[in-house]
Amino acid sequence: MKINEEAGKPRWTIEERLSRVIAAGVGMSIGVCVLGTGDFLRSHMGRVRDFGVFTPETQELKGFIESWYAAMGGDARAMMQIGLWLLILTPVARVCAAAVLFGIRRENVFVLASLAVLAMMCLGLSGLVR
Amino acid sequence: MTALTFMILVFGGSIAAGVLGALTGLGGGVIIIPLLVLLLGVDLRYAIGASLLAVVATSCGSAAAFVRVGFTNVRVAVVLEVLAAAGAVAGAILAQYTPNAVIAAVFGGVLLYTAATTWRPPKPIEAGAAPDPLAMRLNLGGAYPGSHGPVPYMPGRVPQAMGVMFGAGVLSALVGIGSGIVKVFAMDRLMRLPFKVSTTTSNFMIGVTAAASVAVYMHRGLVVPEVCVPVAMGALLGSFIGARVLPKVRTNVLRMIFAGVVAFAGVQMIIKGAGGVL
Repeated sequence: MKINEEAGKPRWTIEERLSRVIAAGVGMSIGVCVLGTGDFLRSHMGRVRDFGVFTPETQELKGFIESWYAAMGGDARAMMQIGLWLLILTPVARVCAAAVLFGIRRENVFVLASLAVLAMMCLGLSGLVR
Repeated sequence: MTALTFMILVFGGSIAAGVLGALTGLGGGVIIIPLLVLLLGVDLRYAIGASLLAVVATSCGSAAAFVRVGFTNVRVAVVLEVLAAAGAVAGAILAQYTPNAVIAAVFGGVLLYTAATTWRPPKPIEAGAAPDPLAMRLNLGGAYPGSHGPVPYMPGRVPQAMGVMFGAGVLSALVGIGSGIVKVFAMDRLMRLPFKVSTTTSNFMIGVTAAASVAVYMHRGLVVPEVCVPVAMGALLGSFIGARVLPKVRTNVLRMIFAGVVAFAGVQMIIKGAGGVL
């Protein structure tokens, strides 16, 4: 870590680091979504399914783990779903990174605030709230 | 319609949603639902999940640029998003006991009032007025990139804004949209932050609450990749464009765009309250 000798604080800014975390998450999500969509379109060039009729998604495309295993098995829709999960997890990674970066700077109020937000996000992400 | 045509149409519409969302700090979800439901005949349950994904995409796509160049105030965002997230949890519990149609109609009226007032800038903080003690203590001040270099600012009325932010979280959980609007309103009118700081900081925050909500939709099986991937990718591309355009747009133009989108959202809410779809 680079240290600013004058202030005794790291030379990087929290904003720069958070920006990199977000850009990395977005980049990975785009890459996986594009691969999955390309694969999907190669085998589904016919008429689109009728989305006016509601049929809940199958179990293997509901959670991250289930989608992961289905994508590893060559399911293009599951790979697209993994891309969406990566996008959803980007704000989570951003909040985690904020907690760590504020911790390094010993700004404890912001560490606690970030952890509180993270705890509330985990309620939704875990699938405990449906 | 072929799968490719459908995805291209959704992708194109979502680009517009992303641009608008990045400029106004409202996420763009307000465009996605009418696009999918009214124009493309997609079931509303799929459209809501896709609209939340558009909010996450717009937030992430524009945040990387806005945070790096200094428009977004990360400290203000972290402080306020605790209250917004707590409000969202409270709203999710309250949702079981409250008549959502009535709330939607009342909130629609509030949005129309917000649209009517936001196009004018708030009165500036009087010179020599004491800064907000909480803002000073938490070091919430900042400087955003102006045309002649960094422009410093210090937020005011932080406790009041925190209270409104809790209400924003409750409302977003009860009626689905509107959280970004209340966030921008609180930062612009109460904290008197510069308008571009308010919209970009709102954009930064809305991704967090939308991500938690859309995960619930995924676990319920309401997120279909054929609809949501083009929405997310279009909104991302739109938000990249919006992030490039925002520094060049004059604030009064931005206020007028914001007021127009809020008025449209207000009408949507009132129709929703009356039992319609839009």
